[in-house]
Amino acid sequence: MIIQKGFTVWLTGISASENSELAEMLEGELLERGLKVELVDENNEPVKSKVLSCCSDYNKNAGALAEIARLLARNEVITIVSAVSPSITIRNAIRTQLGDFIEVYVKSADQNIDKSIVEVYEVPEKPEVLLESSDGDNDMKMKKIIRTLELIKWIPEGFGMDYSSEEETQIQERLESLGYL
Amino acid sequence: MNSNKVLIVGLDCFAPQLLFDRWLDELPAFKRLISSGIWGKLESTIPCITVPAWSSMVTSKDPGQLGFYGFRNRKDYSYDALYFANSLAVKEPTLWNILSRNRKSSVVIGVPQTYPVKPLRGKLVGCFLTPDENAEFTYPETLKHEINEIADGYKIDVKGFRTDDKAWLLEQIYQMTEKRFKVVSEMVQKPDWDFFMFVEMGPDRLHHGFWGICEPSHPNYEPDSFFVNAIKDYYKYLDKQLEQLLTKLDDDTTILVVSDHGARNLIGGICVNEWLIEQGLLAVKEYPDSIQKLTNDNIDWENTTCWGEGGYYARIFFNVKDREPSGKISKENYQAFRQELKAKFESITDKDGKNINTKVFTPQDIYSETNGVPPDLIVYFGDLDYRSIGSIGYKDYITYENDTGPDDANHDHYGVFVMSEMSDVKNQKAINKKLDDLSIYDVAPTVLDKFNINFEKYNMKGKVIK
Repeated sequence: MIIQKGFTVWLTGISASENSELAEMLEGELLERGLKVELVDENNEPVKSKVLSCCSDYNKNAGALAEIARLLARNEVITIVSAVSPSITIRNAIRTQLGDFIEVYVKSADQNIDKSIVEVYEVPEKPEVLLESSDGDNDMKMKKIIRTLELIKWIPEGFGMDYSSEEETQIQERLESLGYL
Repeated sequence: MNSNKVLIVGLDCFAPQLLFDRWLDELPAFKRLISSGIWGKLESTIPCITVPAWSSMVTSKDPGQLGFYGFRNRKDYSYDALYFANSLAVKEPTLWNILSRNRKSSVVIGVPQTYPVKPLRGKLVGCFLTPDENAEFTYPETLKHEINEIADGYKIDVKGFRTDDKAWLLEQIYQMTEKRFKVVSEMVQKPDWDFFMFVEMGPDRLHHGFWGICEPSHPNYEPDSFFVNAIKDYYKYLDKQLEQLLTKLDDDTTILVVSDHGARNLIGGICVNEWLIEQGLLAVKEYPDSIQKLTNDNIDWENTTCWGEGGYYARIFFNVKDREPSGKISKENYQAFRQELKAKFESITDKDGKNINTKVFTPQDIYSETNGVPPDLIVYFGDLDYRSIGSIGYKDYITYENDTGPDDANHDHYGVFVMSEMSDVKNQKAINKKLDDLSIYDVAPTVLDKFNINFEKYNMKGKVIK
C-alpha cells in the first residue's frame, strides 16, 4: 500500500442511483490501484438512517456524511461520498470543513426523479468535475473523475510508460534470442 | 473449501510428462502435493506460448478476447506497425485486479506481461519483459531495493541465451532461479498477502537450452554428455525449493503449481516464407545470397498474397484489398483462399515425402472474439515438431538449422496443474484426484472461488476446478 493523502470525492446530483453507481465504480478503480478508499453512500448501510424525504433531511444527512469523511481523510483514506445533498450552502460549508474536497456534479437526464428533489436541488456553480450524458457511459464518466484526480496529482498515474525505442530494440533482441520471434 | 490464502507457483514450460510420468518418485515435494491434491494436464492456449498463455490464465480470457496473439502483434493493417504485448496490452481484469477490488492483497512476482508495472493492492515485481534491472520494475518502487537486498541482486532473466557454452547457461539459469526463490521465500512469510503468485522462467530456459542433450527420444540426444541429466537435476532442484517453500505456508493456504504449456521435441523448422515464395504467394524484390530476415522493404507487396512470422508457431497474414495498403486478395475470395491455403499447409511433407501432420487454426473459429489485429491463420508445423522460420535465403522450405541458434525443444499443448490444501498436505491426506478436462482458463475462476468472490460479471471462459 503506497502512502497517500486523504481527501473526499463528493458525488452530488438529483439521481441517488446514478450517484451510487458511479461511486461504486470509482471505488473499484481506486481499490484496483492499491489505494485506501472507503465508500460512504447515503443509500447504503450503515449510514442510511431513515428515508430521506425532504430537503432538510438531505442536508442534515450530508453533514453527518461529511463528518465521517473528515475522520477518514485525516487517516489518509480517500472517501467517496454519494449524496444528493441539494443545498449549495451546505455543500460549500462541507468543502470548507474538509479542505481536500472534489465536488462531482452528476447531471442526470432521468425524468423519473422525485419532483420534490428536483425543485429544491441547487446545481453546483463550480464543480471540479461535471458529468453529463455527452461524457459517454458510466465507465467513461468514472474515468473522467480518475483523470481529474491524476491531473491534480492527488492519485498517482495508473499506468507505466511504454518502452522507449532503445528498450524496444533490447526486448526484440532478447525475444529473438529466446526463440519467441 | 474456501481459503484464507492462495499461492500459485508458476513454472514456465514445466512439462507434465516429466513431472507426472517420468520423475515423480524422485520429486518428493511435488509428490506430496499430488498425493494430497487434485492434478492433471492443463490444456494451454492456442498458441501455447508464454504470451498470451499466462495472461489467459490470470484473466480466463482467450487470446482473441485479450486482443494479442503472441509477443509481437500488428497495431493495424499497415505492413510495419508492430508492438510488443507487455502489461499495457492487458486490458482485461487480472486475478489481482479483481482481488484488489475485493480488498484482498496480492504479491505478484515475475508473471509475464506485468511490465511496465501497474499499481495494485499489494506488491508486484515485473516480468522478463522488463528491459533490464535498471528499469523501475517493482510496485511500489521501494520494493526493488528490498528484493535486491534479499537476492543480492535480483535477476529478471537469463541474458545471452543462445550460446553453445552450456555450462555458463546452466549456471545462469540456476542463479536466476535461486534468486527468485530467495525473494519468494522471504516475501511469502510476511503476513501482508491473501494471494501470492510467482512465475519462474527457469524451466523454459532450461528446456530450450538442454532438451536435445537430455531427452532420449530426441535425435540430438547425447547420453555421454556431461549435461545429460541437466533437466532432471533441475527438476530435483525445484523440488527442494518447493519443499522449503511448503514449510513456510500456513495450513489455511491453497497451493497451486501450474505451467503455461509443456515441452516437446523440436526436430526442425519450416521456412514459412521460403515455402510461400515456392508457392508463388510471396514475392521479394531481391532474394538474398545468405540467410537473412525477411524485411518489409524487401517484400514486393504488389505481388504478394500473404506472408508469415517466425517463432515456435507461425502466424500467417493475408494481403487483402482495401485492408492492407497494397492488398491483393479480394474480400470475396478471402474465405476460399483461406481454405485453400489451410489445405496446402496441412499437406506439407518432410524430405521423405511423409506428411508432417501440420495443424492450422482459424482465429475466428477458436476464439470467442478477435480483438486487435488477428493473424489470418495460425499454424503449428508438424503439430509443433517443427518451428516456424521467418528468414529467407535457405533455398529450401525445410531445415534442421535454426535461424536463432540452438534449440531442440518446442512448446507443447499441455502444461501442469496441481492444487492442494496445505492442511491436507501436512496431514498427508490421501486424495490424489486426477482430472482430465483441465484448461488454462479454469485457474482464475478456481482461485476466485477459493475467496468466495462472485466472478460471474467477468464472463470468464473457465470453470471452477473442484
